[in-house]
Amino acid sequence: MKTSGNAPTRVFCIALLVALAPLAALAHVEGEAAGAGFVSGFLHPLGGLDHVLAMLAVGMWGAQLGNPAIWLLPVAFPMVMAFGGVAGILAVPLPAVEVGVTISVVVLGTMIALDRRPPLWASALLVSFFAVFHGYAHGAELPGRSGAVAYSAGFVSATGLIHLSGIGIGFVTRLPHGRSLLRAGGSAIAATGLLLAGQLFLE
Amino acid sequence: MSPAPGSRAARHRVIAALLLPLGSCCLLPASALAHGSATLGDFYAGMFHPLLHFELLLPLLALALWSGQLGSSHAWRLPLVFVAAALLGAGLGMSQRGIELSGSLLPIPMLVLGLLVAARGRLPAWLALGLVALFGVQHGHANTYAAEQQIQRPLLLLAGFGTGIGLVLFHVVTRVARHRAFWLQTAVRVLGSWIAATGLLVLVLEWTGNR
Repeated sequence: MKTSGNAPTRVFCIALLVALAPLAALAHVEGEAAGAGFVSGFLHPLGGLDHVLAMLAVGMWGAQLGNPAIWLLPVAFPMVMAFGGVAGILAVPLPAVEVGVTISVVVLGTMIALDRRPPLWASALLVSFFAVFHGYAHGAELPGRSGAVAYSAGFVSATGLIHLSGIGIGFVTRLPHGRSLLRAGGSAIAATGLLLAGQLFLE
Repeated sequence: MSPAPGSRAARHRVIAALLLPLGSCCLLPASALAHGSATLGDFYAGMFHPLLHFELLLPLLALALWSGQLGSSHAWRLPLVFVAAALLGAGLGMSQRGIELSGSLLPIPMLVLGLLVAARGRLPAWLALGLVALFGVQHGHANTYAAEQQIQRPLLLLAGFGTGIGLVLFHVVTRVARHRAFWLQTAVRVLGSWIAATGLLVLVLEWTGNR
């Protein structure tokens, strides 16, 4: 297992390649609409700081929890998120979506900071809570036009890549003092989440 | 297991395998343009249409990943059935006399195959082959049914279509089937999950008439 430390890097590289491959479609006139839809879907989850932080935290926490959460969460998360997205498309009433996301940032950051290891079902439940809100927020904004496939693919792959980036950050634990560094990162995320919550409250 | 999984050589092979189709995607249309030949036009149109449209590319990719995961005889049987069925479907689509398959069924293969990949699911052989044949006909039909441009040489278009999807399937299936490293198998499952999630979102968008 000499090279296993590089595994997340490799996974990330491959995922990035696959995600970027459709951009080649941009070069073609007939693929223009698809390419533009993909890019706007890809950029959408990157636009909100709360979503990015919570998503990063999910990856970092997964890395901290280790096996099996580290690989199970990236496989399960997109599906749970898609169910949230479906609720968003159908406009199922879900109260205070942005508040839910902000709470996720604070809670997930706190879990990393405390280095807590709840049982898998409990951490999966907590992550699912965020996944549903995250999917809902973006599902509600899915465009009702012919680029839906490209847009959805962009949105899903961007979310997945932030997740993988979080796992990549989580591998800082392999460095000396890495575990403390990761916990400090969790505290920073939780603190930012509190600031965002305050901002929401004032609005 | 040649070379040792996780070794530098294995890593380079996988990266090269992923870069190759990407590079060829960039280069081939340019060479087609350079020829400026109408004869090549239909061949390349058939070849690149399924690779440039997400609704066609994603189910194709999911099928390739699943076949590779299953390995052994499935690794070549499922792609072969798919290509044969897709050619049949493409012929039906071009004849314009075939059944009008609803476009809103397109995300179903994405969802089903993506879920199978994510769960590393296995199906009885008859069900797997039947399902893939069905999806293949639909894939081929969708590829040619709404062809905007005038098709001058339908057989050439079919040849290009078969070559294009065949190459993608062969390339992805062999890599996935050969490299059993844990990180690669996990990456495959993650990709399957992404495709399934996209399929679910699009399916609901279609059914609610939001499109």
